[in-house]
Amino acid sequence: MNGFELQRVSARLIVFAVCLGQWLLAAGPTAPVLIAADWLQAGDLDLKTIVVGQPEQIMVHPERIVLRSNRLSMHVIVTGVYEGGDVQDLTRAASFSSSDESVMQWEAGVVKSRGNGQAILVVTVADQSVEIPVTVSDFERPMPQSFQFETLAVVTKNGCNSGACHGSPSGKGGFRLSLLAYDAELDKETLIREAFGRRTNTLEPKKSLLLQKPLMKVSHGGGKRLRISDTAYKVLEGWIREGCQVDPEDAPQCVKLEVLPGDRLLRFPAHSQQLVALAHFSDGTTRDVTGLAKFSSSDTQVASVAVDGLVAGHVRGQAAILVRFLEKVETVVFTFVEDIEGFKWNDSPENNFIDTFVNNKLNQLQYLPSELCTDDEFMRRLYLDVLGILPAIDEVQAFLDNPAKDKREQLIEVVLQRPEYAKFWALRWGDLLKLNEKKVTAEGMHKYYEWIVRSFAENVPFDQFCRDLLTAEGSTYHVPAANFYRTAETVDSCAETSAQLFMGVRIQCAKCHNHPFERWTQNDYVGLTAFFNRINRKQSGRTGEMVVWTGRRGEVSHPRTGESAPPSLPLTGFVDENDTRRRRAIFAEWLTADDNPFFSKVAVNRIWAHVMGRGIVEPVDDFRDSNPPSNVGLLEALAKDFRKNGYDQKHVLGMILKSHTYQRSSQPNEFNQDDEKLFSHCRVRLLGAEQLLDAICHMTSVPENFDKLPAGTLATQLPGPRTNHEFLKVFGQPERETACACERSNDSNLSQALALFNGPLIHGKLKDESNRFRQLIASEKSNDEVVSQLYLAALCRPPYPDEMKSAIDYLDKKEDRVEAMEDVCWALLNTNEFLFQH
Amino acid sequence: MLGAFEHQRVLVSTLKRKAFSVDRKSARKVCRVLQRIGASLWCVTICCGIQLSVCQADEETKISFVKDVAPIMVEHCVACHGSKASKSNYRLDTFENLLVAGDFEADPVVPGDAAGSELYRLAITDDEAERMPYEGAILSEVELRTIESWINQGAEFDGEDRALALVEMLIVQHPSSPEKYKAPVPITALAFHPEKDELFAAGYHEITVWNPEEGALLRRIGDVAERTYAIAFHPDGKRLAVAGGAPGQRGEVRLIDDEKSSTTTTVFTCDGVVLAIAFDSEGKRLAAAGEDRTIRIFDVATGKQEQEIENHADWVLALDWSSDDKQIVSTSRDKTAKVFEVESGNLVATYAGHSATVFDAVFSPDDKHVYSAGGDDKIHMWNVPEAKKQKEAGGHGQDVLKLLLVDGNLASASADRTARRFDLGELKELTVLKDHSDWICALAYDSRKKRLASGCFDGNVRTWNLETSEPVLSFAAVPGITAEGETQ
Repeated sequence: MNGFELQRVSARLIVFAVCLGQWLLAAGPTAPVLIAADWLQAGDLDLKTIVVGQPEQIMVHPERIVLRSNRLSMHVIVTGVYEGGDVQDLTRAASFSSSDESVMQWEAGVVKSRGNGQAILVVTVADQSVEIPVTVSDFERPMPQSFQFETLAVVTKNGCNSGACHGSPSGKGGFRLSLLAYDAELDKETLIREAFGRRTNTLEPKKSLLLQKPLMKVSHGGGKRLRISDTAYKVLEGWIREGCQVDPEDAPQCVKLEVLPGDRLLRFPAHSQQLVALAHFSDGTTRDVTGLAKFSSSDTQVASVAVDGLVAGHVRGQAAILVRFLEKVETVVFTFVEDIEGFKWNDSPENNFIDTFVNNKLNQLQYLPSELCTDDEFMRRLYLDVLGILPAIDEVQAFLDNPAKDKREQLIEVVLQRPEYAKFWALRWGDLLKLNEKKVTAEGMHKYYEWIVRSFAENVPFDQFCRDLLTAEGSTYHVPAANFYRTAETVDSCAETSAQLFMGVRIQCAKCHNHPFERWTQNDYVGLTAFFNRINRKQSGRTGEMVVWTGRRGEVSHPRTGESAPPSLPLTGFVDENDTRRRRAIFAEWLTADDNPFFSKVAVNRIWAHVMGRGIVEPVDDFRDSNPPSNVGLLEALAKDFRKNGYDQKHVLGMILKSHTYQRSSQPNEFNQDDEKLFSHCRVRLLGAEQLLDAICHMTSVPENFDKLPAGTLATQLPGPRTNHEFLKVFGQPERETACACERSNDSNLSQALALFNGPLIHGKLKDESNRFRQLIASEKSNDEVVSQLYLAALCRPPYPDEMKSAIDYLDKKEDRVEAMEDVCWALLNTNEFLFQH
Repeated sequence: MLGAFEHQRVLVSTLKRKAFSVDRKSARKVCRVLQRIGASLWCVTICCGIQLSVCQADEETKISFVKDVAPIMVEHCVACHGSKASKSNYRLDTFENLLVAGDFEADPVVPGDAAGSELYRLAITDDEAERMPYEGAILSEVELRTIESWINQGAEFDGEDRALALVEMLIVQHPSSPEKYKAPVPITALAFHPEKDELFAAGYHEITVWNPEEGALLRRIGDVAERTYAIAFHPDGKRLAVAGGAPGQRGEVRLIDDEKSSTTTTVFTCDGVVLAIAFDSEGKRLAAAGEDRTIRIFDVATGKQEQEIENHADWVLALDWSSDDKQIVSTSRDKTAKVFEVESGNLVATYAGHSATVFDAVFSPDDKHVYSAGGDDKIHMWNVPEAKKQKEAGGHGQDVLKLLLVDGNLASASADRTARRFDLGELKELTVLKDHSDWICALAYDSRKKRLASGCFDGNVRTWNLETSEPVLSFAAVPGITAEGETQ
């Protein structure tokens, strides 16, 4: 061994400047005092000075400390509470002292046990002190390293078993670990026994390959991943030194992970916060696992988190910090606010509770809402969002000329009662329920489509709609909802589809291993599939008919243990129900119960995203702690309103449409132009494939014909995707193969540009002998009148004078009036104002 | 490992020998370093002594590249700058390579001018962002002085082959094994002496020799690599070959004179552990293979390598000669077993029927079949050269790790904690030997006494009477540890 290893001062060690007194407030003369916090491992975080100022109160977490071994320690965090309720992490500015060093010592941010007894930890900052009682017991009791709760935890923390490295299904370099340690049994064999124990060396632990490789003492494809100073090194080396012991079978299990101090709102310059992860075990003990837990940030532009749980904010906004300790996952949400120069709240009107929640969030983060949009913008937006189509010219004229103050509310009520509403929303649900001929045959598809349309037309409460689908059985001719089990053909597909549609949970990942970003485990997945295990499907004699019924017995077997697994409700647990027909009902009842944590939120979020262009949770079917809503209060209020009104979808939609938030202009202002997710202004987006096709047909007054469907059928009212329709395909009509909302592509591409410039569809409509402008010309309308009509049809407004002038100038120059009008019409079809929802 | 005291002594003598260009300032630096590590008065006194000797120093000891410099490179540099990884496109895994500049353009080594050599500059610079080893501890003063002096003395190469990997150049004197083990080691290899009542077992940096009747430790053969994965007796009964190495780093095969209990020859070293060895029936040739995927055939008398077969895509785990000594079967983690013609090195057959790691394989006595065992928990019997499966035996519920022909039967050892015996024609299970409490990693057979020995992952060895299928003896083949796992 090299006895000359010089103690190097880490280049990354941040010298921490702490200013005591009222420096910033300029009220006192106290000079800033610089403290080099050499115990701080801030990684690459860019930390700034802590200005202690004058806190009104000091809080210390945890409030009392019990250490039941000589190996245990506890992080302590100190919070200053200031006038007005602002808080700041003062841990690194505080001083700590122990009343009895033979019992406990404070060292580098943690309290360490030194001997049995009781002592007081005195925490002092800004002339205030807090006393924390510390009890140390069982100091002599040997506490071997836990394979699961220490070794596997640090292997996970250091990323060894991540999907890109040894956690991939085939491992790396012949060394395979289970992804994020979901299979401790496998890892036990791999680490201790595989290849005759080559990875560990109990006689000379430091020589173990498990340490030598990540230290890059021995060539490692993954490079240098470990330093001797890391907690992980100490844990792994200690575990090997103790003989690579595995935990006894009756070892206490981790039942809960707690993260202190919980959610935080910090106002710059306060921007950092130490987190403490506490694991609660089944024997009632609690252990500080900050050094063993893995921390990650949902939005690293807003905030980063260092390996030791120190969070640092960079810009205003929200970020969820995900804390993983083996299969336990907890999230804390950080909000960083900052005073923006020149920001002054504009008292944007609040039409209903939606605006209150949106505006509070905007005001807190200092974004200014945009103004109300114009009447023509509103009308076009409303029609496209609710009905999928553009309004007729006389409807536009009537609305623009209507002097009533509440004409927008009136229009909303009218539009919600129109038959196109049910058909357009059935289009979206057709996507999610995978309505296509391949899956359910043409007849099945029409029946299923009609059932969905009827549900929306009759405004069937959404919980009922969901229960109808999940509990459906019988002939798909008589019970079209039973097609749900035709599009979800396997047990796995049933569970995955239900979870994604109604819980917003992409549980697929948990099929093979514990979910990498979430709390979902393989057990949850298997338990969910068990509800659908006994469903049987059979073709009847009639074309396209299938009979769905429930068998009497059969259980799913757990892929890891091979044992049969009973149904189990997420977050609730096993269900003791052998009555076959009751199983799905139990799941559906649990799902649609008022206290279900997913159902109403997911439903209102889908409606919101449909009309606002972005979900409060985005993607709409990816609810997870690490993907928090951009406005928690808003989502909860909408969900509550939805439940209170009997899961009435039209009611919630109406509330959203009536809000100022919905009716905001798409024009951003100086104080909201970089807002993407707080709904300060309308989100501009390309029309959907079917909307765009209908809009083109409407504008040119040339309907599209679809095979086997009546003439004049709108694209937004198609029961299934048209596989042979090039235009719809190019603009992202989904094939309806998955239950994911993401299957409908909203990406723009070159084919779309080409289709619009000189594609056959547009060309055909422009050349059509009976199109709108040819009819108008034939009825001897002036150029002014024709151009006005085209603008009203396309954009719900008459042309502005300069637009009219350039159109007329162009028409006057051309010899062939019809051809010139064709050009004007073509140009209008290619404007962003036509192509986009705004 | 050297004790602290010893280390300081070595240091001081090295400094006396090597610190010629050291001026007073450097000497003071040395003192500071010494203070930092030892900080004893004794140390300081010696330092003053050095300071004097530094002033007068003119005697110069020649630094050897092979003995002094190469070990430093292997320990600190080759992991990142070698054949597996070559950071900054610079390698110093061979003497030839270390002279060639990488992405940096300065000459790594300028003979006679350490200060102008990039290699040295990067080792001593104060700029931690570029100092080597990257993100690691700075090289020790002794190591730095060694490199400096070697360059200043002309950077000469005193080895035989400039293109030879430094790791293969090292003259390895293995550290001694522990007097008493504080933890058991897996028994990864076993062999009976062909004539005497002696059972040879893999130890840690040693081979332990036991009396198979009583379980008593007879002898210990040291100067062996960290782990031993195979032991093979030469048919003459006087020599044995041991294969092993340090996992992930280097491997070697040594020939041991049994009577002297010491190494006579290092057959070869390579950069991965050697997992399998086998003598041909007359003991003229020795085959070896392992982590580096290559099968090597050596002439035992001359020690010369006669054949090299690089065909497997992953570690080679086992080897067996055909009884006519013309073919060899190998198994690999690449999920195949392959038969090669030794003379030409040509591939004769590839068997992929296990679809999993193949741990071991043996030829049938008539060479027409091969029995192979794998990670599919099964034993397969297939013909050569068609490589068609003829028979298959289940039974073991887990990986089958070892196979051995025992008096007209086939013995197998498995991770399911049992050894089993099968008949050769039908692969019918004859007996199950169960008593071990962990993986069985090694098998050996004493045909004189009809005793099978099995070696377990937990350090225990059991001997079995194959006629009765009864265990005869069980003992921990680990010095200092009893069968119950207690430390004596």
